[in-house]
Amino acid sequence: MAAAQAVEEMRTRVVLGEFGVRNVHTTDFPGNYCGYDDAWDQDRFEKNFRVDVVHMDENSLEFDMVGIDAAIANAFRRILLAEVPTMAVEKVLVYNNTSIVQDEILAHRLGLIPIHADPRLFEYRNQGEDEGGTEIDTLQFRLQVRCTRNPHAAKDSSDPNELYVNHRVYTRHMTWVPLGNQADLFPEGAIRPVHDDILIAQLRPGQEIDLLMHCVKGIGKDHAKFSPVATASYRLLPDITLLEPVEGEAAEELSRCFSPGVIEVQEIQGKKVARVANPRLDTFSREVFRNEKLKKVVRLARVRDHYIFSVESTGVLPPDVLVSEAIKVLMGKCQRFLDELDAVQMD
Amino acid sequence: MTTPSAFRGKKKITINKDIKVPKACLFTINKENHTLGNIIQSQLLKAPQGLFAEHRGPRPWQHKTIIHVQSALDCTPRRPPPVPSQTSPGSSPCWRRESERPHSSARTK
Repeated sequence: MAAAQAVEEMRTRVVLGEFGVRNVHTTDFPGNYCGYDDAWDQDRFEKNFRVDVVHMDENSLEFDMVGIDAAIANAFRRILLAEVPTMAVEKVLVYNNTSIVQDEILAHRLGLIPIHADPRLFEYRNQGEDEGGTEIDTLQFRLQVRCTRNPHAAKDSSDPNELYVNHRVYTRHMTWVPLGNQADLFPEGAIRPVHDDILIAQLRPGQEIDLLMHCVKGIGKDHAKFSPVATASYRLLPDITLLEPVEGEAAEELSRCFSPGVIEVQEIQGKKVARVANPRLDTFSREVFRNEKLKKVVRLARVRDHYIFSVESTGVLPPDVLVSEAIKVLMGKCQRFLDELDAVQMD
Repeated sequence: MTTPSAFRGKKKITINKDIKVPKACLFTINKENHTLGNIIQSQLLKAPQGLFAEHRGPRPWQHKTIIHVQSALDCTPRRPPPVPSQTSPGSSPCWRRESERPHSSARTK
């Protein structure tokens, strides 16, 4: 009956109305709903929870997490952005910089370059150690580029590519300088910037950049250069319901109100009938609310506990490894918290 | 700055009893934010003995979360309802019960 349906909607859907969003907060706590047992139950959670990988390639991952609370999904997103460690350039020792780019700007740009090194094999550098780091916590790179005039250029050429040699400094000019036993641990070419065609600076004849970079392990909370994801985001699974059958011209209009592929118009017994085919594709532009007739026919909602995560890696680690690392970080936090709770006395 | 070594010497958790309300506690957790605070709050609300639970970050420049919990009369904010082996009123809060003893939720009803 209608009341039961309304309760189900309140518990499981976030409804997008014409002028606002309803049922945003989680309300299924014990005692809120008569007849429902909402207390935390590990077995029920394990039965309902699932993770489905929808699409994965070397740099991006799309997966669904079904049956968890918003707080946990958000925690994973926050951890992916800010608390999964990577290696990035922290200290730049400038021996010579006669380029037009100031030292500090150059150092800032170098810090943002993603470095292809597995951060799990390194340790955090202890604070307060100003001398060069050890092989267990530091990576060294050398960048040495000098721009000269090309003696073989044509007399009247104006193309910098012809006139000058080394006038553009790319990440491929960065060379790894192994410290200690790093040369034995990492094969040739394993430690490098992720992309070798990032433009660092531009030079003209006579200008030179000669510097040494130290990379350390850090987390995104400290500086965004340490963030391992281009971005990590989630959205809730859309749920589109047609409250009445939509036929004929209205069906065509309805299918145009949504993203392509969401509404399918079928020919049944000569009439065109609209059917919700794939609500997952919809981006919820709410175009349907601008149509006076159709806005009463459709209920736009999102499934409250179905999260579609999209993780894009910068290339440091594959995205599935990043998600596992994020889960380990969360487990580490909880374990540390439990241990501390044991240790602290009530005052 | 936020590496583990930056942390040495500071207490992670401080527990204060809330004087205004019976059976309530304030847990101040250093160097944590909404990532952990929101999770703990939502799990505390799921526990049948949890009457009130909130997490707040008092000021943006103070890197800590405060978790404010009030529990029902038959258990204290730190520990779940009495397990025969424990005599002192200071046992682990409900979320700990979930992670350590997953079947105790059936017993509490």
